Amino acid sequence: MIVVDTNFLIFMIDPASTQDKNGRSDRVNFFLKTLSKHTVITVPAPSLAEFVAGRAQRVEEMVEIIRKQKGFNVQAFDEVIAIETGERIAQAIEKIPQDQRLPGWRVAMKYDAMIAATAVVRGASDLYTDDPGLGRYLEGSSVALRMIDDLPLPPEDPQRRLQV
Amino acid sequence: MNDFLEYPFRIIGPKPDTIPMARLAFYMAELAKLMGSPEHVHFKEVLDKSVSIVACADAQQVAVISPRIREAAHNDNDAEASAPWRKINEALAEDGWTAELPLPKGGEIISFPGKVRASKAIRSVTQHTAIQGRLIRIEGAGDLVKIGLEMNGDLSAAGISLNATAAIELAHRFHQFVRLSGEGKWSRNTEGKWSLDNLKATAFEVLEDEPLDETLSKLKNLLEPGSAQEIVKNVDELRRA
Repeated sequence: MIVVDTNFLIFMIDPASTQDKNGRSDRVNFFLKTLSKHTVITVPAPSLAEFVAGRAQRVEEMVEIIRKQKGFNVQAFDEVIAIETGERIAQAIEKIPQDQRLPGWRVAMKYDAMIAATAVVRGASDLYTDDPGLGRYLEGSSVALRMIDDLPLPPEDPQRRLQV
Repeated sequence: MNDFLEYPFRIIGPKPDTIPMARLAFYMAELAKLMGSPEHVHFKEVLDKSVSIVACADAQQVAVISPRIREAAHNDNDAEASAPWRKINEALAEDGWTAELPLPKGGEIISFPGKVRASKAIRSVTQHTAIQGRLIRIEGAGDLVKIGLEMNGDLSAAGISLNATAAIELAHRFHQFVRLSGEGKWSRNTEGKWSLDNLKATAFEVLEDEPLDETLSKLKNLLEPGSAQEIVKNVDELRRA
């Protein structure tokens, strides 16, 4: 089981939205092509909140489509994940010296921590994202952070046409 | 000539004039093991202020080295580089220091916490829970029937049960993919791993087996043309807020 964050889900739906920066379209297309058909893709509920806040329309219809599929799971933000989220936020803040903490951190919505905690609690093998900040909420867990730019590119076609 | 990118391993605590040379050499040796690719990684310098061991790597090897370090940091037990990762953290714990390593490109900073903190065990949390998988077992003669699901992932879920009436219905879906929901009891061990110890399912739904590309294509049809890029930008802004 893998977890995808909001932007990675959008890249999966429309690889062109990556603007092909650093070969991202090819990386995402190759990732989709090589993903095992047994893999369950979990979409954490806080990602849906980000999706809506990011001005996506018809999100409720999208949820209806994916929740029926064996290859997807929309994971509610439940009590267990809430506990894990809180602890991971506290641990991450503890590491930042008092004078370097951003003003207002206490009230900031930590969607990234909620997404990471979902992956930890539900036993995901990997969390796919374009946001390196998620890594600080995965420390000490068995979830691997997979950055979009680290995904492999498809192998080049060996039958390249000769320039004549 | 190849391009090189820097990996500055910053030890927070000592200064160059207080850290014993042998200790510095130990950290350098373990950092080299953590990074791997020995032919392509070189020592550049030790900076002062805090002790910063700067290694540089062939730019083409960054795609190998950075994921290796990240994997060790987030997957402590299984990663190939887990031994040097643990040794560095044990040494930092002995010395009472921490460290950090900014990865080149992207700005991700890997933290070395010193000793890895044990999690507080949590004995029981009861909550509404749903799990999904392939139905592989139905057994029992009583009012509550035991259910076995083949699940994708690392979640340990023992003790799934369903009332006999619903289980008879469910039996028609043997070897198909289903989602069960009901009251679940969860616990967490001192290694921070959560387990679903018990699920008294009260409902189930049968899942469809549509190819991924078809599902993604349906989702794409729901997005306004050209809006995906704008949503990505908005989500990035939201994360930075």
